[in-house]
Amino acid sequence: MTDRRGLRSVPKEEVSAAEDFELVRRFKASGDPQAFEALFRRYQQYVASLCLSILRSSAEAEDALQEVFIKVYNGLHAFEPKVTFRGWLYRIAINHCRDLLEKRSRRAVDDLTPVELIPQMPKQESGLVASMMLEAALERLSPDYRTAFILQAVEGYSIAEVADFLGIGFEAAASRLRRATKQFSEAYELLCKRSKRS
Amino acid sequence: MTDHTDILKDCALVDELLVAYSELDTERRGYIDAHLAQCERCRQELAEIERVQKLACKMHLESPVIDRYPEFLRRLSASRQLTQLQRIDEMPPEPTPQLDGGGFAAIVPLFGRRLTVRTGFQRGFELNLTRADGSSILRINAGSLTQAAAVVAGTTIVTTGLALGAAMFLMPSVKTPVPPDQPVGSVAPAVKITTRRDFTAPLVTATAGETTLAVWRHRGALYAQLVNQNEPGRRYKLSQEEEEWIRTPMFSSGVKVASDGRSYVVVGDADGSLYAWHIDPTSTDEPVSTLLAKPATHPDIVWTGKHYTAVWVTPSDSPVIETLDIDHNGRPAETTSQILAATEGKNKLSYPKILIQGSRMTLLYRTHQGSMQGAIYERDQGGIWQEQARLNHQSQSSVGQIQLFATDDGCRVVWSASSPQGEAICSSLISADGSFSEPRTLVVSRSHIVDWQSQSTATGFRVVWIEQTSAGERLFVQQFTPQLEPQTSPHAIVFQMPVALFGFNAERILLLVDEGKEQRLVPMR
Repeated sequence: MTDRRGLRSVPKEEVSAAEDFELVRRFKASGDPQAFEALFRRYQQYVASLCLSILRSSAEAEDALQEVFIKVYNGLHAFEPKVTFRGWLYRIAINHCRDLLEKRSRRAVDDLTPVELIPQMPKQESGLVASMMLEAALERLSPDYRTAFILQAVEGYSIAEVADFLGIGFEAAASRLRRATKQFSEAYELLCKRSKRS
Repeated sequence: MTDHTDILKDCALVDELLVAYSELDTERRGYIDAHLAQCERCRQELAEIERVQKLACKMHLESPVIDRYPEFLRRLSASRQLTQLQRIDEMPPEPTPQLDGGGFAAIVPLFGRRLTVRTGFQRGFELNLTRADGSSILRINAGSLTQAAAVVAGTTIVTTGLALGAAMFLMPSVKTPVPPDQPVGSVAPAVKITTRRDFTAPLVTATAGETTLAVWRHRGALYAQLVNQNEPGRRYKLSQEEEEWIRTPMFSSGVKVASDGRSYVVVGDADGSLYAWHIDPTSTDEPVSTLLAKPATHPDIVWTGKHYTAVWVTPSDSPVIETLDIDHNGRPAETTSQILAATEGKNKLSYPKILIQGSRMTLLYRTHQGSMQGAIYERDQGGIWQEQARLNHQSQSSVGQIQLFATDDGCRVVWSASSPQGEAICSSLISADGSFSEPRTLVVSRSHIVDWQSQSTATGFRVVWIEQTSAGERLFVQQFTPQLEPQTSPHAIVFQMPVALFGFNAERILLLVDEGKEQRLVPMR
């Protein structure tokens, strides 16, 4: 899968795993705040975009980013360089966002979702309607499917990377993505039909 | 593992792998290609997958490029998950600042330590307690020796007894000009409020007379404690759904508390819902939570003189700010809330603050871009807030916390701001027509300001703030005239452990000093 939007196009010097490990080593050895600050600044933008992409809400994404880095700060002493810092960080971020989605799905039962709002949109707002329908179709996916779908289809991560982030095997990730893609497609088609009727 | 020869026959197996088509190894891809060549249905499925993925590309969102590190430090510090960046034993020797205006220095050996007293005629005193190797244990800057001694006494309670003894020993022998108009400080005995390390920094405090209520969170649950004068009072556990809070320990955007002078109402959001608790110090009943709104984040609450008014952000794809009156017992006084401000699109509104002066309300909030916006409202006879003027304050820096104070002809806004160059606390006056006066910068710091509060006093205006530096946390106090001219030089106290502003009124500052195994309240007058 190609890198479609450049989210992963981090310049080489910024994703040097060796530099990450050195910063982590300094932080673990002496609690060096500058080392942690360097890690934060290096990855804040990528984690912010990742959280925003999964949560679809800038306010929640900004909160999530802060919470993720607090988890990283508290857990960095237990980090072992068997995996890259970047992979470890992204897995924390993805799991955190997935947990938030689960909570959101539990409490959103009575909410008026964008699905119900779409027929009320003026027809001339076709671009906005299309965008809302995509978002509404995404809302219909379960947190597990939605996370996998966003990572692969929206953000362009490879299935191998998605499998790694989610802690599952390649075939399990492919299977999950296939179901997510089908569900998304069906939800989108349904919304398109409803929009045309209205 | 799949037998690849089966792929040729089985559409279901092919279907499972179509989404991974471009990532398959050569062998499996060969089988898939062979199957596709003879299966129209699977070719259509692959085309559908590619169509969906093309659609999905359009959903990519790009987060704005902003520096989130100051906010991270604030949250880390506020939640007190911050371990001490450096223990005292690891502290590097601090460079001695140059004191202007001449002056003198005295060095006194003290139980293997050295106490250095330096004075500059313009800048007051500096007391520096160091080890033999020059590393600093405690350093204090103060406007007068009396203040310095008071500060030493206070910090002695929370660190060691060495500095106080030394200061008392030295005081009679040091002759220095002491400005007669300088306020004289005093420190009451410290109050140990807990013996276990379960007390994170208070989220908020409110003071009614001599009683302060502090609210904080521990392992997801919400607690409140009364502190009467300097004595710890009753402790309450507010959130009953502890399990839920533990599962989402960080999923709370804020807790605020206000007082009518006799009791308190606490508002806070948990898991997207906004609750209120009424705390009456004279009652033996346990506080009961009342659901105010759902979903809701970033709450605030004020006492208007007749009732409480709460304000919060309702998160959605187009967030709005809503308000609701609350009675003395923390229950909604109205059946429905009123929307005050709304956004178009997904822009973030956060941390709304309100000030109510009679029938007029001033609302300010942070926008997604870090600027301040809001409006002035008048309440009509039907109780509806009618917008009178829009407020819009743009600046190069990003707005943090906002405070509002009433003035005779409008209100004063004080806010913290951060930019790549540093952090600052600024103030402007807002007139009734919604115009901002030229902002005055009260405080500038190249360090991170972890906590600050401001308050009107009998002689003007006072700002207290804590800076976090690699050498420890520094508490500063500075007095301003009503016109916001500096009245005194900032007085700094250096702590080698995390501190937080626990309570603050005209008479005293109540500090929470985190000593690791236990925390103490240190009242300072």
